[in-house]
Amino acid sequence: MMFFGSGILGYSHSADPTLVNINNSNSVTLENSVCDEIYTSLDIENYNSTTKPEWSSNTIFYAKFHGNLFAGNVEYTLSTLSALRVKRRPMGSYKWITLHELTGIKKVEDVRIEFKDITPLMQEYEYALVPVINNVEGEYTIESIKPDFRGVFIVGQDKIFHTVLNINSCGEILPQRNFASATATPLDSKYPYVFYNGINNYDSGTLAATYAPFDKENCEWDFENACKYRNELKDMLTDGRPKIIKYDDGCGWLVAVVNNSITENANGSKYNVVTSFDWTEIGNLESSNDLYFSGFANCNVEGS
Amino acid sequence: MLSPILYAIDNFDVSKGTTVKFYYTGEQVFASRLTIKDNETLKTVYQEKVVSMQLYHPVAAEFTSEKMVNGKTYVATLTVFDKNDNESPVSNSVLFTCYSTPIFKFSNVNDGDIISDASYPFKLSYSQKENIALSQYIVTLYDYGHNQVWSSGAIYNDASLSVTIGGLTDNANYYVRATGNTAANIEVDTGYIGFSVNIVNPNTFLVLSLENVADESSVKVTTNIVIVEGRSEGNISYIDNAAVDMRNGGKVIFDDGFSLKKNTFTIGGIWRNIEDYSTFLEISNGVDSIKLTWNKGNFGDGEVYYAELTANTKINSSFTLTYIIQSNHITLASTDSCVLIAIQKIDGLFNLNIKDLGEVAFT
Repeated sequence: MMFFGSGILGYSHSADPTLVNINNSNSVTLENSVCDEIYTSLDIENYNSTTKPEWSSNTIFYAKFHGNLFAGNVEYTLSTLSALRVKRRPMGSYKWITLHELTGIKKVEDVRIEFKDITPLMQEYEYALVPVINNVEGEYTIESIKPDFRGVFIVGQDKIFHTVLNINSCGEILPQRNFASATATPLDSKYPYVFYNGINNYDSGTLAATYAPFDKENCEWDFENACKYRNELKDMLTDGRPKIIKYDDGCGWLVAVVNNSITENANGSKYNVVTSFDWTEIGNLESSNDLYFSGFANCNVEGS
Repeated sequence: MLSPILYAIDNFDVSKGTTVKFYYTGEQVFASRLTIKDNETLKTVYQEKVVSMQLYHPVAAEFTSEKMVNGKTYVATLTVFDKNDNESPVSNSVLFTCYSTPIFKFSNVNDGDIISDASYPFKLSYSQKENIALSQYIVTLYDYGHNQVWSSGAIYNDASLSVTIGGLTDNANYYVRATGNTAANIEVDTGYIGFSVNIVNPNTFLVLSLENVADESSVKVTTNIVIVEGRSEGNISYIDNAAVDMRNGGKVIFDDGFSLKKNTFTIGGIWRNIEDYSTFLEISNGVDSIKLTWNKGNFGDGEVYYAELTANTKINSSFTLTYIIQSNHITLASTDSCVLIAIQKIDGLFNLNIKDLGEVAFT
């Protein structure tokens, strides 16, 4: 463009505004208006009236002004949040047990739970996130999942051993159900009397299998290091603490290793060593008491 | 003949009658005669012979409601008759009092209600005409097949009459029932109240994330909770619990719990009744700011509205770089039209678009 004989703004973007660099904004103020909603995201989105925004990992806040000024994805404040609990129950069951409780929440960064629940069996569960607001449990946010795994797992408080090899020869864990009874044979009766003493009712059994580390990258068993792996397994089995045995048929038990010995049989090859031990059920995997006192839950809210 | 033994008679409502049970060790009973007298005057108010071989004597409501009064104490005796219609000696005397049936019901849930929480406080109301107190009650939860899934256990001397039941499953149907006893040993029962659960869960995305970890047979549980709460300054109010009104000098400020760390972001919102030539939105990091003002003007085609974005970046203590863009121009269908405003910041550049939505209801 020519102006007073001189060429100015000669390029197509010469008149564009100067770029500004405003980062780390942490304050948004609304005034002088009526506002229905305000939404903020770190994504470049086509915000329009026909599609309501959904929360994503890049959403910063979304205020709908439904009688309050909440703009997060939950409707409680840091100051009223006493604790956060993660609960679990088998799908179809009524009874929740608390697996994890987060307390001492002081700042926004504290409001995050990340842990692995190592206790579920292969069945569908519901998990619930429960805020404890002013010491009263609030709304349950519920999600469901069916854990999916293969083989048998021996789960300790800080170690997990896994195998699919030579499981009890028959590929199945077949426990024995134990209960207390006594039979009396009176002289004047054709039939004996049977007495049930106490409420003992538990499983026990033997687990025999071949154990070796599994190389996930090459998808093969590392039998060269199987001996070391088996020794680590035996150390865990004999540490005196409760274990969880679970199998991909949906069965599982909270157990203790019993009968004073863990045996190994080579079965004709050093690569085919079967480790065998006896176990007995010592608790219920759906009992908050049993999980807590076995060290598999960090709290015991229900006491059941 | 032997004397029959009359069992204790539960206090009952005269409008409903009762059944009196007795015990007899003699020959087969063929009939029984029950006599009820006013305990104060000893005037007989009921005397009927019922032919029955059963060891109970039904007292019909039509007799009791006519001859007896709630709040009074009566004394009952009974004789039985054998097959030859010989009458036995009189039984023991049993005292009882008639009371009006208490009203015992859930006050905050009705049959067929939908409950939107996994945890719900079930509240009961109780009243009794002669002011007999409720001594204990039990609230029981049943599933759709009337199988008991939870019970409160006996609750004594509870003035609140409220029991919170937690762990209700979304999309499930339940029955709740409360039963109890009064101080006069009158049983009360709300009956089965059916309800369904539809949990309103606004926090579906990422609030609770579950991940299967197959090689550990475990589930990774992660929460992603965003807590942001605005604060107000000055006078604000809510319209229909769906919008915030800041036209009387009030402000809503979000300044805790978030940061627009990236150089790109989107801010969108729906406004109405924005005051002309005013700043209605300001984004700031404490030094630099982005302000939106609402303007109107006539550029030759009649009056139009537009927003103007002014971004101020402080370069040094004496120089601030200013970036200004205007939105598209719109006409408003009415003074109450809603306006959608969207800002996109892409690195150092902004897009600013506005759109008239007309007079839509707040959501």
